[in-house]
Amino acid sequence: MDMAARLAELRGAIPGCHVVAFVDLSSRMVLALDARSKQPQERLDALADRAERLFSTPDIVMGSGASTEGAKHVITGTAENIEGYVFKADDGEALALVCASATDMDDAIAKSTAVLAEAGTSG
Amino acid sequence: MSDIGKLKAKLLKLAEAEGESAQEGRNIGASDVRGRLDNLFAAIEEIVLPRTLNLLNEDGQKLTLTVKSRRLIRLNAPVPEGLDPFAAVFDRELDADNTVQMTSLAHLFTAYCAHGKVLSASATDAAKGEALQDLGVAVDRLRDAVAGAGLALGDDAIGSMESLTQKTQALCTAMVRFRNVDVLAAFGDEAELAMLKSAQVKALPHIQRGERVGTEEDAGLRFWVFGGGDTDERRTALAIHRSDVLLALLNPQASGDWIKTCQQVLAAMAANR
Repeated sequence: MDMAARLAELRGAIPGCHVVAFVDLSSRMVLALDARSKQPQERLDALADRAERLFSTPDIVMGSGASTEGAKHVITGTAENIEGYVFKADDGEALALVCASATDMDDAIAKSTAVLAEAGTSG
Repeated sequence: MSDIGKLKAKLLKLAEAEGESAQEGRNIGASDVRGRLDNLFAAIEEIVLPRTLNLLNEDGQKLTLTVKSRRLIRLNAPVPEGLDPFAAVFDRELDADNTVQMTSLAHLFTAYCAHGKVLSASATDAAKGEALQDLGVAVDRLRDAVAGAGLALGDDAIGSMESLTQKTQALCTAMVRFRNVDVLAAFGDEAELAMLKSAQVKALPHIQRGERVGTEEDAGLRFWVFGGGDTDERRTALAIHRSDVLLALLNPQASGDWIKTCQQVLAAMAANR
């Protein structure tokens, strides 16, 4: 299954998810996308930029004792939306999600982590 | 009946009357958290002989205190549901010079009163026990601790970092709130607090620059939850509003509620603008 199909399947599996983007952290670029509606390029650029910044935020200690340098996910948001970022540190890749505020982000993060892991193993 | 007999009968009647009023309890509710706290502390101050002070709030949380000589001697287990983060101060000797413990007490009483009006406070005889040998904590020290914790106590506090601190206490096992370099409030066990304070020191330069975490625009309150690969793991929560920063170690599975609370506070901030 190619990345676009994986992202479409992932977005379909997360109720309230508007956008799923596959981000290359080193270039801060969205490499693949599935979205409910067409996304302006500047919004995608901002999403990729935010993913890289969150990934590289140093030493805010995690509950598990790790640092953000090894963080696997970050959830943030506004009053209207929730954003979720799942990182795969070894490959410098991330999945970025934009979801409605009522979305179950634990479920969304778990599913995204699985998709990112599968993408890595299947090349 | 002899004079002594009459006196005994009178004392018995008085004792019965005291028992009746204790059974009924008294409403110490007030419209805001500050008023409820004032009433609660006043109830402690009225007690001289050893008593168990039984408190009940609108949420049905029962809090049982041992009180003597106008001082809080102990908080008695069981820990009311929703106040688990403060379990460390239950069933143990209280020390007014223990800053962490006093901060926990300030947060605990504020959280208890914030959960709803305190519907009743009834005093019954305290069970005899070693707790009665404790020196306990004077009410003035409790008031000082509440004041020092920088907690918001009035209804006007909705939509503020204080409000977020109060609303999310039950979701965390440890929490540090600071403004610039000053710690405004902290609670949790020592190891977890040390970890959060370390995070605070390491993160502070980045937070102050405001350029390394997420978006730069002033969206009012900004919030993040950081976690590992396993969603069952403990997570660290961060909230920033101007120079106010809250770092917390969340209970497992509490991140959803923490985010929802942040969004509610954020919406209230926007409404108040």
